[in-house]
Amino acid sequence: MRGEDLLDEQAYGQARTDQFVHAQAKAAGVSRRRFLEFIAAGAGVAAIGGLRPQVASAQAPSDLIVKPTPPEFFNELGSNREMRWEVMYSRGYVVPNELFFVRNHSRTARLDAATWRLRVEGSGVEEPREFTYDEILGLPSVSVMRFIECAGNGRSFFEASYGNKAQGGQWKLGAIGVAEWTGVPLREVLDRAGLRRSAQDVMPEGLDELKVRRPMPIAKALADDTLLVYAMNGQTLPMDHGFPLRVLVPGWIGVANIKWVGRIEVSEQPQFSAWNTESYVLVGPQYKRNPPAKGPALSLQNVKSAFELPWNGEVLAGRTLLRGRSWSGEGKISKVEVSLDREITWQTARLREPNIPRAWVRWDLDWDAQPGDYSLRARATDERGTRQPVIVPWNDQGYLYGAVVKHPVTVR
Amino acid sequence: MTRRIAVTVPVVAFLAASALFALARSGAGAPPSVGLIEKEFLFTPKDVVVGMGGVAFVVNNQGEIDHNFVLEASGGKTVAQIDTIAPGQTGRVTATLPPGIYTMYCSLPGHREAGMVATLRVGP
Repeated sequence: MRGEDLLDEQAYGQARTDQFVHAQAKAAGVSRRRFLEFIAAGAGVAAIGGLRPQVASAQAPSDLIVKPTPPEFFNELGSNREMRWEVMYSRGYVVPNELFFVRNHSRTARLDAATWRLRVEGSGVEEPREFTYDEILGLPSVSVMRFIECAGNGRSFFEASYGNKAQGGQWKLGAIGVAEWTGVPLREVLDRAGLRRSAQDVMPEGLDELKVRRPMPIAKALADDTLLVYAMNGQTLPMDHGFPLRVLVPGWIGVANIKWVGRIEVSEQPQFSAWNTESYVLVGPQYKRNPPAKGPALSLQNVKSAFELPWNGEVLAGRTLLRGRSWSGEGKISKVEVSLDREITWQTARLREPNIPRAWVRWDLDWDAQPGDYSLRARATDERGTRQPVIVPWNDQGYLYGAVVKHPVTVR
Repeated sequence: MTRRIAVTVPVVAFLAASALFALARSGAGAPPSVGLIEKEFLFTPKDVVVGMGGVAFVVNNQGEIDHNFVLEASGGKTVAQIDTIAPGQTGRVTATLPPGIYTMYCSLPGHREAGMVATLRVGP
């Protein structure tokens, strides 16, 4: 089951669930149905996954984030920082490192490259081994432009649609950034550890206090642009973004792009962690439980658009150039439409090169802005024909809000 | 180490390193209150003993990130929970508990494994 078909998220999730249920039922000596009843009765994945060694948390620094995050660049959301979209109006294609959003599950890990090691191990490799930082830098590397986006980007709009807040940080649309990422294709490292043909899943693990970890199928791990990244926009990877090494899993939700990676487990068995069973899964009336996960696990990001304007801000009356960006986890953006009159009419925006798959496209539209209050809308269609919908189904943890967003702005 | 634990009814509990934690019972019929502190990534105290019946849990997040609170019976059933406790905030929940051993923890991914777990013993 290392086929390319598992690049499809639903096929991947279903295949792993079937394997999990089969193996657990077999190990417990019960039927598949009996096992599913047991799961339904409330036994969580913690009982299944076993306990790991505790993380040493002594001398943890008190600052959550290392880089300055001034309020003119960022919205503060607890331990996270959201990029303010208006700052991108005067910028180029990539988001500069100092403006890039920060999503940490605990606090930024402070690691020393001289003592850091990457360990590659598990039943899926023949020669488990460690790499030093210099060894990683000495391997063949490539540079790619890709987005990294939090799965919860847009979460606050669930409340606007449904009247209830979804669990988690109430992002608007600034939990995304595009950068030029430079690093070693993950397969180069896996090959050097003797990757077995029987390997199924690859699970990178961070050296942060929580050891954040999340698996991907071997097909995704071997993709040309799945990288172990050590540089971001031409600079050494900043601490807040995963120094000395992070994973880049293009198109996939942000948490898959493990920061501060210190261990990669390659397994002949399906792998699970709290980050693909308890969280980063779809839980809601329209989603079924997917043992051992609470619901279908997320992988690909969906289609979204954002205006390069302040939220609920002001625009001067007169001729202006409206700008924004659109992106999709599935590929390039093929069309962007903008409505200035609350979806009575739509105008096609001009797409500006480059239009890189799994990064974004910049677009613009002439606007002779007359004084008044506006609710701007942008909707993108990607090359697969997926267009942003009017509404998305509710999920408790507020992931993948890909519906058209109503952006309030006042023209004076 | 001696530490003062904040609870809703005025009470000061002195906690030795791995000692059992005390409880408070107001005279006005309110349930005894258990004060807990959450931070990255610890639960204090680690071991709490109360009598059976109603118990009010007062959970103070002294950390820098969001946490929550789950009280689980030994069979794995959740008997009380507080969804989100923001940094600096205090959450409260009351439960009526038969004797037994319970687990208290933060259910955010990785938090329990990192140390945010404690034991509650409910005596007869």
